[in-house]
Amino acid sequence: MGRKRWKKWVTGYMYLLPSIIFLCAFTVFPVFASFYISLTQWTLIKPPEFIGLENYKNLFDDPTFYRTLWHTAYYTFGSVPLSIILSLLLAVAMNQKIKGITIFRSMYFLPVISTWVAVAIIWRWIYNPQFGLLNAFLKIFGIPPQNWLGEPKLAMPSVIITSVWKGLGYNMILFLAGLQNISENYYEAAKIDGASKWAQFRYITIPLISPTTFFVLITSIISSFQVFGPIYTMTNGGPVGSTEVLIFYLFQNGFRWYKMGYASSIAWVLFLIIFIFTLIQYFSSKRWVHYGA
Amino acid sequence: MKRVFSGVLLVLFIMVSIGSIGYGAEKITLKFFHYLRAQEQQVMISALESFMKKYPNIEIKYEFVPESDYITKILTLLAAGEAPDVIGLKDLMIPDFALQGVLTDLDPIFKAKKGSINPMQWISPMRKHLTYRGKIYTVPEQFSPQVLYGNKKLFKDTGIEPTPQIFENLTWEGLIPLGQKLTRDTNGDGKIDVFAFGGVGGRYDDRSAIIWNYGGQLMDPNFTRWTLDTPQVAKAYQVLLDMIHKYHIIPTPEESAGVDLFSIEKMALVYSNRYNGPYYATFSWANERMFIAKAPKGPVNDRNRTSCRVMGIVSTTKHPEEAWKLICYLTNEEGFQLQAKSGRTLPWRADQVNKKFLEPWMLPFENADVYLNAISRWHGGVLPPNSDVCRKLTIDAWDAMVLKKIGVKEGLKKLNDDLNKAIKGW
Amino acid sequence: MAHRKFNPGIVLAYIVLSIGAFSMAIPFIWMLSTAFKTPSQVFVIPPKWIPSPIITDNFKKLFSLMPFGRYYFNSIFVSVTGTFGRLLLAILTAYAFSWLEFPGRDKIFILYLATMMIPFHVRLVPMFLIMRALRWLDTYYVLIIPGLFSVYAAFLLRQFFLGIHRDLIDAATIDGCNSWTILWRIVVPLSTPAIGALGIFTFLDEWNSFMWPLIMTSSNKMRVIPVGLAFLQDQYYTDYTILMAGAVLALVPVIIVFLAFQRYFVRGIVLSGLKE
Repeated sequence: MGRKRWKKWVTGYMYLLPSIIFLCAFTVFPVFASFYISLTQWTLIKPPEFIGLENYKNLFDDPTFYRTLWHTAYYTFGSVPLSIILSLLLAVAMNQKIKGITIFRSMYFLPVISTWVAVAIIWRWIYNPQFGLLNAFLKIFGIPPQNWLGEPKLAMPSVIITSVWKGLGYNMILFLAGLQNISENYYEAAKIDGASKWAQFRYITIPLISPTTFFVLITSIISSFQVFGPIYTMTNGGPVGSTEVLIFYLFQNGFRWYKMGYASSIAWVLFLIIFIFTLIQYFSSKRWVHYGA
Repeated sequence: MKRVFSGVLLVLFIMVSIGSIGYGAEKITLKFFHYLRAQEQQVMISALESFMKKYPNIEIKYEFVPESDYITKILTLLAAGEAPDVIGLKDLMIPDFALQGVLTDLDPIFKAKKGSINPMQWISPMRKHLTYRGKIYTVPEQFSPQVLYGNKKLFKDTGIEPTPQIFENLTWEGLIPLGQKLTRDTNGDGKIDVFAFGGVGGRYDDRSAIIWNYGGQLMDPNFTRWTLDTPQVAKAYQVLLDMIHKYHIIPTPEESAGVDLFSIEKMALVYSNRYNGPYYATFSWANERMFIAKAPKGPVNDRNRTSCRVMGIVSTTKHPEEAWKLICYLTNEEGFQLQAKSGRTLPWRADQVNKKFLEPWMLPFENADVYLNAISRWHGGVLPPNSDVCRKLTIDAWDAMVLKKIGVKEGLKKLNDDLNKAIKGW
Repeated sequence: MAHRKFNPGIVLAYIVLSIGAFSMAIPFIWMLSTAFKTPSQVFVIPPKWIPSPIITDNFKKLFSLMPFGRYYFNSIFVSVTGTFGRLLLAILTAYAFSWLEFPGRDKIFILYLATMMIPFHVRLVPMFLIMRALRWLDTYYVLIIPGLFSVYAAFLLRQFFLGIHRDLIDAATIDGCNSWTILWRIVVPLSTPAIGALGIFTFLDEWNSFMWPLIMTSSNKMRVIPVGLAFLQDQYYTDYTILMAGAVLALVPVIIVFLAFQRYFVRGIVLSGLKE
């Protein structure tokens, strides 16, 4: 190896060293331990008992697993695209140099910092079939009142809307940061060429914000597949289990039903699913992500 | 130099000796683990502190965890070998912990007549209730059978005077015509704003009273088999469902979603117990207009339900004697007095279940006779193993029936099968 | 003076955005209003936005029910140190994954991402065992140190670092700068928007952390705000008024951090330093 190349090697790993130490100390053991646990039966009270792949076999035949997995996928693919599109548009709007825009930006961030308890109470009131705001509003257009959180078919979409609403400010900030990286020159050149605002958005903003979009896409999918809190404050998994998600099923098995081994097997199947999705996104990103604005 | 050095050593040695004498015998540390709300913690902490004054060689390291995360944490501690010595527990958890060896059998302690607690002093239903598969693993800490809490104004507004006579022989089905008078649309917008009744939950023990009152049983006497798929249980369920769907005296889940209708004076009666007493006392209208009354009964009997909180010794403890001292203190001695002042429990010792003992505890809207009646109607509860799975199954089944996704007979048959599958092997 | 074209589309968009902005504030207003209410005013329908009477008892009760001041201090100490530490570590790691070259770099990056995909609850007991072995349970160590490395943070900065123009880096290399200088003189200053955003997110994440402190600490001395406030709820009812008093107080540092950091991703350094 050339001296220069070796130097690059060492430099790279030196910068990675702190993170490697942390990962080795705090992550590697729990991750491998959780895999071992998935091969056992463990009540937490008595020591684990090795049973090989039995948990995975049972998981394969478990209707609740498929049901909660479906609900989780529904939640993820319902909320992530909506969130990305809306928060990008919001960020573009909030990027204008208008007086008082700081106040606007701060207001859009308020739901992010408000507690889920408060958000759930307000939205449950909005969704209330008798006197909620939403049905009152729809009445104007002649739409009959719906039971948003009480009707199994409507419950998950309602939770998705609330969840997207609460998270808008968060992704807005990320996109705002990304927009700062796009040089004004591009927009000026486009204006001179007579490009419309929409064309500027389509051919300048979208490609040049793609590194941020990539980040938001991957991290949103990873976290949505593991969603827990929002659902449980709004519907507690109901009505009739129509909003039960995988992580809660995992949690119940591990910490309520004395089946930590089974819970770990659920975790590893979920991991596999998320990992494959991430790999697909990562490799397809070469096509649409442009670095170096 | 040598002299100074040995002089210092001597002084140090004397200091250490005096220090350890000052501690008396070894100081023992007990870990106490419980799930108390913020308001309850203060009372408990003062009880713990006066315990430590009484027993200076015992140090209590206490930890309180929010109720919703209690079991998660205790299982984590057990898995890591960091178990506490004394734990507070909901009675429903007794089977899970007893069958897995977490709790110490207390019978040897009772036999040896150590400490101040004697189960023979308890009312016999409590003895029966806490004897699980022949052994007693816990002692009571809080106890409050069901009564009705009501709103005088909502009665008087419909011309009914809420006298005790109304509730004296009130049956579940008798609640229906009463409820129909109390349920109304107060502002003429076509929607009902005031409901008659609420507070009957979907969990198996929430449902137990009405099932017994119609002659049904939830489980066999040893709690090894569920018996919900009988016509009696179906009738009990149907009566409640009719109250929601047919007569609409109980609000549907959407109508009561996220709001405590009783607190905002939109519900005339609620099926509840003294555990919620301090909460009800915070209502602005409580002192003027709240009252309590006897819970309804059924055609077969008037058996009542309760859930209670208990305390036990964890089997891995190294100090069972001290742990027992703590439990006696907190649930039976000075600690109990402090707890009783907080107003959430009723007594369970036969010598305390009487008007003379109870009367001084009563808040303005409470009534000792009603509580005594509630206690006398309680004959013990239902304690299945794998309690959280059972809880979820019974709640889901009830929700499905309320949403009319499944009929009562079919639903109960399926529920019973699922429940029996859940407790198989325990 | 140039004639400004009146664009009705833009005006409509801004009216919609204003309505949106005010609606975003509703839960926050509810929190604020509830903190000053008596319990019986909380669930009136329609909701009362201005309490009558306005009381400050909830704040007094909050401090008398629990050592809230101690919780506040703990939360601030843990969140501030955690945020600085996490930012630092993320900068170093993101730099390695963006502008440094070494074999296996991108494959290792994917492995790092993979660690985000194992759910927390199945790692909990093994992590508890580690913390116990280190004797960090119920100390500040357990609250701060394990959280210092975050793959999410490193990933975020990596994306932004990659957005810097290659020519700037190359020019500096040619000038004889080493990796450290490039990082702190070029990469970081050009990434203030991302670092600003990350600062806010990290602080928020540390501030709201609940499950970890709940399991890893046990005494009142080490308790943080989210755990403390959880004691105002149980199965049957929630002390909404006192809870909201606590939640409102807990928002103050978050709002301060937001306002302090948000100027970084507004006035970021313009990157048009190079002519095409």
